[in-house]
Amino acid sequence: MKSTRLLLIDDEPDFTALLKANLEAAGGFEVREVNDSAKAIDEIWSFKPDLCLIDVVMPGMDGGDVVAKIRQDSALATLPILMLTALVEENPDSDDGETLTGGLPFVSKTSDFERILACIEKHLEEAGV
Amino acid sequence: MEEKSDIPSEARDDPARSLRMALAFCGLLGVGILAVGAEHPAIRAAAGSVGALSIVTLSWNLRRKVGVNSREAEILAERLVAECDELEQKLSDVREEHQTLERFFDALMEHVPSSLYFKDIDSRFLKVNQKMSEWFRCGHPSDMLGKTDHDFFDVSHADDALKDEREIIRTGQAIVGKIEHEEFHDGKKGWVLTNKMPFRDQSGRVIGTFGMSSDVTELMETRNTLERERNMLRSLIDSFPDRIFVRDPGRQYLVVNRSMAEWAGAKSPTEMLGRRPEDFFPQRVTGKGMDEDLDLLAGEREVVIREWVMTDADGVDHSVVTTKVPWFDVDGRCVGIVGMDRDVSAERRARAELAETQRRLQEVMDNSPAVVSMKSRTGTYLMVNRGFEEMFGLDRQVVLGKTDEDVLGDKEVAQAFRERDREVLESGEVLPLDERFYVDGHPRWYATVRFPLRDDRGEIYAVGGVSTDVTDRREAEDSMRRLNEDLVKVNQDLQRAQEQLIQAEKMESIGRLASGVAHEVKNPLAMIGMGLELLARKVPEEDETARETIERMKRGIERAKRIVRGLVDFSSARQFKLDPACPNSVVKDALSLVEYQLRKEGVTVVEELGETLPQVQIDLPKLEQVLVNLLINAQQAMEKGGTITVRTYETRLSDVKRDEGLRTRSHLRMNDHVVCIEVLDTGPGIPEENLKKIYDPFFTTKPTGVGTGLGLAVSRKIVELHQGRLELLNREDGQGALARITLNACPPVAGEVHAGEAAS
Repeated sequence: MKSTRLLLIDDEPDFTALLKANLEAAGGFEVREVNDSAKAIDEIWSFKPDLCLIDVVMPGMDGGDVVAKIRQDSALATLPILMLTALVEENPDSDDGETLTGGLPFVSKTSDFERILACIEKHLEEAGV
Repeated sequence: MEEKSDIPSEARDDPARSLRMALAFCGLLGVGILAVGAEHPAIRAAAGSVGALSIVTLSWNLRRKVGVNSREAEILAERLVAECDELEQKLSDVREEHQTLERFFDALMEHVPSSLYFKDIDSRFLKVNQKMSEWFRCGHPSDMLGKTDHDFFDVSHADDALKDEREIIRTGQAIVGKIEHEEFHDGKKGWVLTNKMPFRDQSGRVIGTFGMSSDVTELMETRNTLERERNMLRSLIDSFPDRIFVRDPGRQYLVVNRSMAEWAGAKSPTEMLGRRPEDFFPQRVTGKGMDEDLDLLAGEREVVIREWVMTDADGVDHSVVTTKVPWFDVDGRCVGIVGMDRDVSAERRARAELAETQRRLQEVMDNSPAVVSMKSRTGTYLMVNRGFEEMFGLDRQVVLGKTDEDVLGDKEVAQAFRERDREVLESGEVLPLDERFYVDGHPRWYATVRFPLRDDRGEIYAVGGVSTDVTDRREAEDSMRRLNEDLVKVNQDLQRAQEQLIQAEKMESIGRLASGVAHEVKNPLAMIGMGLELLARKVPEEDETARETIERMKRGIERAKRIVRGLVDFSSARQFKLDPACPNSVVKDALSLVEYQLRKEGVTVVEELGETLPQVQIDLPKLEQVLVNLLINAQQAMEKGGTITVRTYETRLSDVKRDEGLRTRSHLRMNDHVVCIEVLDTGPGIPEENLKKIYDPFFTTKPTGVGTGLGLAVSRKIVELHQGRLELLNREDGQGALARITLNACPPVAGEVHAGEAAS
């Protein structure tokens, strides 16, 4: 089975490395990290991920700017995005703790890996991946 | 007896004829005397004898010489014999009478209480009575006969007596009522009253003396005593400064003293005797006295006391008090008036001066704002001032001479006064007091001093009291103190406000920091979480130590996340949405969330929910969060389990406290219609020292890792955003703690409120 490609855009290399390791350990994922938001778009073009996990608070271009760039490119307009940020708490009202804000799903970085994984899989499924 | 001295001259010419005539004359004279009755029995006896003898001799002589015929002679003789018998009979009667008289005389001599004596011309005792001989210490009266005074007395006394007797014999004059000092036979000295008289013979010639002496010692002593007393009285009267007088019913002076004489302008008291007041005093002065005298003499008045003014020669006025009483003799008859005039000018002046002094003192006291009184040892008022009258509403005329018990309506006050007086009397010291009295129904404060008043000998005779109304001063002090207290309080409030401000600023800073901090902390937390997740995959199943370590680390992360979440909640500026809801529904939702945990910890939940409660404006999730927080707190307070009672009810607000937070005050007002939600536990309650701190962020009594210290601060803020009030108290029944949320049943504003705005 072809692995699902996930692109992690976050300025915290320690976090992305660990998340990547966990996702890979979970199996079925090919994960690439981008710790410099300015390189995010190029990386999308080169890696062609099935889902982007984007942090919000980043130096230079923040998560919002990255999302805006992606949405500006019509070829990428449908690329599934999951905002993975420490800014929000887990939404207690949703099963996977996700919050929808401005049309984007937000999930708390501090959520259990299981929940993050559940959230990723949900959005992949929605995107028909 | 004079008839014998006058002999007719023709008798000398013829002796026989003369003899016959003389005999006849004598006989007739004797009979005549008998017939007429001489005064003295001896004389009568002598006259009888002489008469009878003369007649017998005459009849015999006539018979011998005349020689007449026997018939005539017989008739004549018979007549003479008859006359002679008659004369003899008379002579016998006279003798008998003479003997009777002698018995009388002897009885008189024997029984008379005086000494009687008769002396001859040479002062030799002729006859003395028994009394006399006893006095002269002679056994029998006859033993004294022929003796003289020289035989019994010393020469000078005897010579004096002899001199008296010679004088009597020479002049024929009696010495009557002579009082002599005498020494009696028993050595007693005394006084003798003697009457000495000439003793005459029948022809009236003085042939001696006789006398009578009586012992008048007692009388003389009485007289001397009287004399002494009279002199003493006289001296007394004369030395008396008051004017004393005694007047007879005719207003003539009988007695006046020197003072009286001087006053009347007389040279001596004697000059006034026998004269009347009018002779010395002007009519103006005496007029009234006359009427009074008449009243006294008539028995219409028993005493007269009158004060009047007399102007003396120098024109000086004198106040005189005249006292007069009737004077009675031994038979109780009014025989005059005894009176006394006293010049009382000095007394009157002294009294006037005293009165003036007292008046001034009273005036000073009356014009003093103090309450002044003076009481005797027995507690009767001697003096009070106007302040006293006004304070107690009593006139001084009512108070003076009375005790506190008599005049004060409040017996307890009277008792208290008496106690204090007693204290002063017993200690003899000044007693300062603070007293409170109700004057016109208002309490007044008095600074009182009670003190002993002492006489010249240092004895306490009265208790004085001076009370000054210090109510104003006290009130000023009180108000100053209150002001000071208020100031201190204001200062404290200010400090508290400042602290609150600092706290608020701190909160805001914390709020501002929180989101940043939360983000910064959450990132590493997330990273560590990821790392742990990864490690957990790599650790072999059998390595329990490693697995356990990873679990501990995960719990650590959970704790850190909880703290961060609390911080974020506290500083959350998220929107707040109020909707009308039933308070009970919030309670039920919250209970369902913690039901499992409570049961697990052995806590029983009792619901006492009001049935028809009004709706309140609620942000359901937020208030639910608050309730969950309170329920968990309650559960954690009861380590060994217990009962949590959740109660809802509506009421009218009656206890908005002054020091409630400003925000609360602006929302909840007295008498507001409110709904209360209470959570009661059966734990140990909240220690007093913690009551004020429990809302402070990060204040917690829970063990590390159990509480963040943010729960109550956040809860309170949420309730305040509901325009309500959150209180944490100890239950009145002492069973544990009580948390109460008070929300307005009719909120003034419905809809959205921005938390930031509400908080500012």
